[in-house]
Amino acid sequence: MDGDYTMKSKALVVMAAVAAMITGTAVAAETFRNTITGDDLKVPESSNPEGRDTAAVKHFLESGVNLYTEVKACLPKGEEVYLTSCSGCHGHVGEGKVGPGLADNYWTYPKNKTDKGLFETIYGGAQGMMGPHSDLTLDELLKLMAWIRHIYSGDVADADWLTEEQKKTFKPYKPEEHASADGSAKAADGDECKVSAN
Amino acid sequence: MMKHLGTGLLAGASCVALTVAMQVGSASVSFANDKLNELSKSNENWVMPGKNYSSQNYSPNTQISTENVKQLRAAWSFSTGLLHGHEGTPLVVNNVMYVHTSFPNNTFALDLNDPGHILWQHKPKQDPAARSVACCDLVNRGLAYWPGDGKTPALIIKTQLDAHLVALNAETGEEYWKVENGDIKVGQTLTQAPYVIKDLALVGSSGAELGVRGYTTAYNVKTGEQVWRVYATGPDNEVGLAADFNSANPHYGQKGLGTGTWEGDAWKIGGGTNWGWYAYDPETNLFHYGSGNPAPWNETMRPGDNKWTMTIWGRDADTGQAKFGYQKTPHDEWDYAGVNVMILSEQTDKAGKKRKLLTHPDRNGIVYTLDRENGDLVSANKLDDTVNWVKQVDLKSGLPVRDPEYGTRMDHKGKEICPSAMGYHNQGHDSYDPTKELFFMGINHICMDWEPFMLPYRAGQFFVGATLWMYPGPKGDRQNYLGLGQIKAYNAISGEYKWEKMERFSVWGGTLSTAGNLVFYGTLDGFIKARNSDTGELLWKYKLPSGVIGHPMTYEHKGTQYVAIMYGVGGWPGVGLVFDLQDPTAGLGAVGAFKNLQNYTQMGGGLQVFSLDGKNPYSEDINVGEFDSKG
Ligand code: HEC
Repeated sequence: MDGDYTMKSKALVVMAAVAAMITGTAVAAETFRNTITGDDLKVPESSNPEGRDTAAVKHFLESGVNLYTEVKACLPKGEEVYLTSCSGCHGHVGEGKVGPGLADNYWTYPKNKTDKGLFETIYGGAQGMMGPHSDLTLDELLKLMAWIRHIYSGDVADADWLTEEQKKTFKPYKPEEHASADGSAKAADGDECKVSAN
Repeated sequence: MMKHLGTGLLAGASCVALTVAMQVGSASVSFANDKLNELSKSNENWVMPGKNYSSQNYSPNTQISTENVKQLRAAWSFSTGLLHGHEGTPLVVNNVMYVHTSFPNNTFALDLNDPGHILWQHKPKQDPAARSVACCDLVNRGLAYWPGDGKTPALIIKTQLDAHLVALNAETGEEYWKVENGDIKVGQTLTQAPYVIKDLALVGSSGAELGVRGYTTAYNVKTGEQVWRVYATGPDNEVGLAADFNSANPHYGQKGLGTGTWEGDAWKIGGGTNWGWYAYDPETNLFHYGSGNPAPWNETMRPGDNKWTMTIWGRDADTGQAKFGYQKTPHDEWDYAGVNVMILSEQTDKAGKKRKLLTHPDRNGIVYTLDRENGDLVSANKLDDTVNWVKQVDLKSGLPVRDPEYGTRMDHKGKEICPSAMGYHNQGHDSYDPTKELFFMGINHICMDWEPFMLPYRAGQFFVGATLWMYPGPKGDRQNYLGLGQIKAYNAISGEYKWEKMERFSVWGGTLSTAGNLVFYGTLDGFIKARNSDTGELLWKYKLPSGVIGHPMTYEHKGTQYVAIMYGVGGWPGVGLVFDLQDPTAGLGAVGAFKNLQNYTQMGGGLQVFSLDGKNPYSEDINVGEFDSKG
């Protein structure tokens, strides 16, 4: 029985890899589930066809870990997406408006402390006015998540999404100390948003 | 754009639409109109949200009265299966009750002979992205009924949050036609109860919080073809101003103001959506409603009077053209959206003249009474003496005399402003007892601090630009965040309040009055109450499963009078309950004001029906609704 099972799942993995090669897109090893219903969100099949095949997306689909977190050059795009799609409800710097604050250490859904959980909540939506945001590309979503992590103003000890290394250098976000007056992130000239999956 | 499921499709050209508009006056058309009017007179029916075209929410039924209301008991109930806010009230026509719900806007038809049987249900599949552009929870305010004409079946008209207007066959629940009235990508949604006049289905718009330019549209009720559309802002021809617009009151403003009172193109994203209630007078052929707040809330971003937001309209039903428009709050600084209920009455004014009146308790804390034939201002009184942004309304000029201390502007945190942005009165559908000449009004007793901030316009995104803190008004208990509501009986001619009572929470949903000397209403913490309408004395109450933001109605069935009310807390006052909000400025300030609500009620939508001693179809015949092996 056990042996059978292993063989089957190996076969599945191989098939998945083949599918990935054929379509050129990553196939999720993780199952992403709706935060409220628990239904399979069918990622990446259900996602915006664009932006599915960046290194960060591939890595995220396999591991549930967002490589863009605290990569400075990747933040401006994340901020742009945040201001366009989220700030109206969650506030300019995640302080909360019609939707709850996203920058403090209180989470309605504790799973949002993980990259996978946060992704699931944004992609599939939650209750009421928190509709699904699956229209954004997977790559944009990861950059957006990095921005949400960047504006975190709570205790670093509670920031489960940071690696031990990152925790050492992470400074809780203070809007008033931010680069420009309106709080927008600026990447240094010549910086490129690049991550590698190794 | 338009999905038509019943009869053949008409061409979409505007000249065709005009032709339809002309035909509206014809014989078969007024037949349908009379039929609805006739139906509304029966104690057995409740054919529109306000019972009749005057929107009086008043029933001449005397069966339930001050004498026996203590014996009112639960008769039967129905769960809608949905959470989130349930505003409005169900309709009853010819022994069938039609129940609406919050998003995804399901509709149920219940057999009043056996209410345990759902005759049909309509459950639309909507783009869930619509949820992300809803202003304040996922509410809906109800349905419209069109009685049919022999060729086209009777229809139930409903709105969907995703900005579609849908007509259902009232007998089967099948979609008859469906039109797209807006685009959620730019924040256009629908939460309003549509309205039937003659063979037109009228519907407004929602989304001023996202910079949507308000519009009102009439569709041919038989085909779903657009007949006319008018806007709250913009060029006169798009606002729909008749040649004699405001000729009786030129000082209200006449030509060119829908663009002239704005800076540049700001009117294009200037709000003024209307998602409240309508009233109609078949004799004047005018219908009345209010356009809402200008966008964004931050007044510094839109200099000028911002016409014609915040306006009470008198428009011709066939063409949409406005005969008068009175702007209550020029250049709004507080989000006092002017969409509230319009109640029509015939009363004798102080000079002894019998007049056709329109009374409107506005968000801004003033209850206005106008002559509905020409827009003359008859009276304008404070809903409560704690209203402070305005000292009085000058009846001659029609202008509010402001107290600058309670104005709002950039780089300033306005404090202790009464009412709050929620208004001393919000969307509640109030009632009028014509025998007593009294209006029964459910009131919010909430004030606020307000701090604006600048923000860019982004299509489909919130365009508000203000941070709010709300708390009980001066008569409430600020320590404990209680004392947030009132209930009042008002005479619009004398300007006097016959009685008034404080409530723990808002009376958000409005009132029902009856010839049994009673006024009924629900509270945000989930009570339905009955008071003596002469004295305000509390006579009866019942605790519902969840808080109320809709208004009660009554109908008679097989000789028994029933009172029905929808429950299901939510809406703006409930946004903090609907999810787990902690920040007091969250929910556009609602969370702070209602932070104690969670200790009194939780979400859950449904309908509760009452009768004397709980008499109902099953108590009358225990075999009703039983499995019958022969049958
Ligand atoms: C229309 C308003 C609205 C918009 C736009 C919106 N949200 Fe939300 N959001 C809400 C509401 C309301 C909730 C609370 C839902 C609940 O409790 O289930 C919420 C909850 C959340 C949560 C869960 C927070 C927690 O404490 O667990 C996250 C994360 C979130 N939103 C992220 C986003 C992101 C990222 C965007 C932009 C892509 C966004 N939201 C856009 C209204 C909105």
